[in-house]
Amino acid sequence: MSKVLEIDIERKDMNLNGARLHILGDIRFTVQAGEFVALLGPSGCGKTTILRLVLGLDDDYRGEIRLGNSAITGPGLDRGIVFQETRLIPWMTVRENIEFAVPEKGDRESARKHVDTLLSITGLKGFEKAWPKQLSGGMAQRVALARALVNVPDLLLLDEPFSALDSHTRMTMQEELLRVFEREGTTTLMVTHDVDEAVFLSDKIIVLTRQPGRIHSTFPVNLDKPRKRTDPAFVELRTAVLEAFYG
Amino acid sequence: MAAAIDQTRRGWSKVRYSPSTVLQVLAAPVLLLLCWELAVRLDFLPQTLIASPSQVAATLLSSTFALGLFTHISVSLLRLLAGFMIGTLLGVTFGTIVGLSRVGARLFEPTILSLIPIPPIAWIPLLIILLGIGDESKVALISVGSFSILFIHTSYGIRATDKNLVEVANVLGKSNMSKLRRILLPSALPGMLSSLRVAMAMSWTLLIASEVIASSKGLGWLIWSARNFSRPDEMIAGMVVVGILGKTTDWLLVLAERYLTRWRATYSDIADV
Repeated sequence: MSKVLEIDIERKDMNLNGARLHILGDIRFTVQAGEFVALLGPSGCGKTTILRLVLGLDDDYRGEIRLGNSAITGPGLDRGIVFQETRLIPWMTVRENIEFAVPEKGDRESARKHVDTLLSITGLKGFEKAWPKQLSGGMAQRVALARALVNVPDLLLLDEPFSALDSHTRMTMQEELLRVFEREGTTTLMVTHDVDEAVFLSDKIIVLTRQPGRIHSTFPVNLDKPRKRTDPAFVELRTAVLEAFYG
Repeated sequence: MAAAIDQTRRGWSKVRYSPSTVLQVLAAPVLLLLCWELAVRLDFLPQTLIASPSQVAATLLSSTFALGLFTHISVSLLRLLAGFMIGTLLGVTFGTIVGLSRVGARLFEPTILSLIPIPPIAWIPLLIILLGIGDESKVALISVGSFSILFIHTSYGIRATDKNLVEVANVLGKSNMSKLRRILLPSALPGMLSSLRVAMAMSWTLLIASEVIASSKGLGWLIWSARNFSRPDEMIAGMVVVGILGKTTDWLLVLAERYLTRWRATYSDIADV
C-alpha cells in the first residue's frame, strides 16, 4: 500500500521568457512509508515544481525520483494529488468528480462502494449530486481529497491544499485531513507555506530556501497526534521552524 | 441541500406570473398590434397592400389557407432541419479536429477560414447551378451557414479549455477519447449551444431567402407568391407562421441550453432585474 518516496533532484532549470532559471538544486530526502512530510518554503522556492516532478508531469531535470521500487517516469494512479485550486470539473457532480478518477476499465461496482465510503469519511454525504459551483471552499477541497484517495494511492501529494480557506475552516480541514491520514495511512508529501499547518500535521518538516530551491534545514516532529496548537512543545517547535523559515 | 437543489432548477423553471410582470411583457406587442389595426382601418396604410392584424388572423384560421399551409410548413421544416443538422454535424466534427490537433488545424483551418467570410447568400447562384432549384440546393445553403458558426465556436471552445482541468485528466491517466468526451467537449459546450441558436436563426434566414429566390413550395415561396398575387393577408400570415416556428425552434434550443449548462455559475443565477 504505502510506499517509500525517495527524492534525489540534482538540478532543475526552467525557461522563463527566454531566460534560463535555476529553480531547484540538490534536493535529497526520503519520505518513509506511512510518513507525513511537509515541504515548507516561501513562494517561488520551487515547492510546486517538486510536486510536478513527483507527479511525472515534467521529466526535464537531472536526478531521480523513486516510489517504492520503481523510478517515476510519468503520471500514474499510484499517486493522488490535491491541487491548491481544487480543480474540480465544473460539469460533473460531486460523485462524478470522484468517480472520474477511477479507471474506466475495472470493477465499477466496488469502485462505487469505495466512493460511498470516501463520501462519508470526508463528510460529503448528502452532497453527491451537488455541482462544484454550489460548494464552499472547504467542501470543494474535501471532494478534491476524496478524488485523490479513490484509487488508494501509494503516495498522497498535497499542494497548499488549504491556503485559499479562511483560518477557521483551514484548522477544521487540517483536523479532518489528519483523521483521514491516520485511517488510510498513506505516505503523504505536503507543500505549504503555513508553519502552523506543517507543525500540526507532519512527522518531518523540510524547510527550503529560494532561488535556487535547496534544503535549508530539516525538523523531525516528535509530538503525539492529534496535537494541541497551544501545547508548549508545539509552540517551541513552531518558533524554531519560523526562525529557520525567516532566517 | 434542498436550497442547493432549488438553485440549480431556478434558472430553468423560473416562471412568475405577477400581474405587473404580465403587463410588462404584454404592453409592447399589444400596443403595436393596436396601432397597426387602427392604421389600416383608418386608411393610413392602403388596404390593398397591407392587411390588418384581424384580417391576418382570419386568414390564418381559414381552412383553405391552413390546408395549403401544412404542405409548405412540412417542406420548409424538412429543408431547415436537414441543412441545420448536416451543417452542425460537420461544423462540430471539423471544429473538433481543428481544435484538438495542430496537424488537423494546418490541414483544414486556413481553407475553412478563407471560405467563411463569404456570406452564405453569395453561395446561392453557385449552389443552384450545381444542385438545381429543388431541396438539395436549399439544404446545402443552410448547411454552409450552420457549418461556419459551429466550426468557429467548437474549435475555439476546445482550445480555450482550462489547462488545469486537462492536467487533472493527464494526472489521472485518461485516454485522449476520454479527455475529449469528459473535459474538452463539455468545456466547449456552452459556446456551442449558444452558437446553435445563432445557427438556427441564420438557417431560417437562408431558408426563406433561398425559397424566395427559386422555389415552388415552402414558406418563403408562400410569402413571395402571396405578394405577387396581391394577397397581403396571406403574405403577412406566412410571415407570422415563420415567426412562430422560428420562435419555437429557438425556444427548444434555449431549453436544451439551460438544461445542459445547469452546472455553470453565472450571472443569471443571481440576476433579478
